[in-house]
Amino acid sequence: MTYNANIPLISDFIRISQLQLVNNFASIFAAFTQNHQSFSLNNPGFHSALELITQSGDPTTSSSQVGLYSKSGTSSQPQIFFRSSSNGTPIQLSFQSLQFNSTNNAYQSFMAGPYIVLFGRINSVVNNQTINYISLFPGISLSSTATNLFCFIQPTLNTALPSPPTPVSATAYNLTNTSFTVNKSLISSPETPIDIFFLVIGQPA
Amino acid sequence: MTAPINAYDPSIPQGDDVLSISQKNLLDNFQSLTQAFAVDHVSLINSVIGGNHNQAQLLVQSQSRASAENQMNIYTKLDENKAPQLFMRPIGNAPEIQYTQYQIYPVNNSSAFSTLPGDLLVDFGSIAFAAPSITIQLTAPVTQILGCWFMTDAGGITPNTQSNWFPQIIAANKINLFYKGNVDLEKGISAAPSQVFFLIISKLGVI
Repeated sequence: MTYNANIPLISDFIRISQLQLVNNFASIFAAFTQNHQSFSLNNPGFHSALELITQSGDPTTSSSQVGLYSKSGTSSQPQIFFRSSSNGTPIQLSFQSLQFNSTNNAYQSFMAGPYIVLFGRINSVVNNQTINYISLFPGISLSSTATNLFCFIQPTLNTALPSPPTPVSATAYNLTNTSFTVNKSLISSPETPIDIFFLVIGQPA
Repeated sequence: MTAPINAYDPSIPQGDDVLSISQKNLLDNFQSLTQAFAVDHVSLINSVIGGNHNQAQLLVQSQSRASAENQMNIYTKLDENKAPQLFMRPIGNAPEIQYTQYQIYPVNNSSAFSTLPGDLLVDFGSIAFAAPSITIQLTAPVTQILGCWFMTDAGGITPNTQSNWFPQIIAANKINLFYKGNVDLEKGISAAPSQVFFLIISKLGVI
């Protein structure tokens, strides 16, 4: 059953055209059920889903139009892209995974760009300890371009503040696409380990 | 912008038409359908995936669109800055969500929130400090606070300007969790920080 846009011909008899017309109307009916509510159901013509076939390039957008489409993104996997009006710069909206590592209460998410967002909690960290954060997220690799990496760590506690308070500050250094090292300033002595929240944002490799 | 398809006539053929009349009408209709389906869709001539989308070019709408109980609506309209943006209306005509230009529903003059895929809520902004501690109320119900990061305008790396924040959840109910950060300042600091910048990531959901 193939749709034929060139029938009937003016020289055709109706006994020829009738089957061609039926085939065309049937083709329209079947094609319309792809991503759309069927003609035979309530709300015919509404989208039931928006399944996007991977494109080789970006669509052209006018001043009153934007584009939502799929093309190959980072990691060579199809991703959803948004292109703003007047041929704006395409933005990758999606990434292929979300992860949760229960051991470290660590999450992997993403932002438009694309950017990968990694965060979690590391307990009992000592000064100059190197944290291999990427190992918490199997299959994730970040770009090694230093300007695309961001890291922020925050000391935290499970319980109320100790008394007297023990001032602590912590910063991350030696940041790479796989690890960072904690510089912990501890005023009191002897030094005690601390817990930290970490937040790393980078681009997919 | 493409011109309207005027050749399509939904009322043909008429019952008393002879084929010599209907033939051109039918041909015009089929060719109009072919032309219309070719916009953003795989051609009708493709018997396997004809009708699938190649892309979605969304004409800017003059107002928000509604959604039924079993329907999600994705559309484009102008945002507050008069720029075309992508919006989503969840099922059941739930509150509209702006997808592009991440954010922002202002909470007050200095804080805001957004979301990350994975049901993650991101609260961020600045808040005036009132010694010895402050409480930051999250903007939506969450099941767990996953991470908290702070900076103060009295922070620093020298001993005399170090500040000390220990995030701690102090209360929770079925509407909101509350988050408390206790600040302690080292000797030598004569004044508490006047402003705290914060970033909090939480798991969205009703407890």
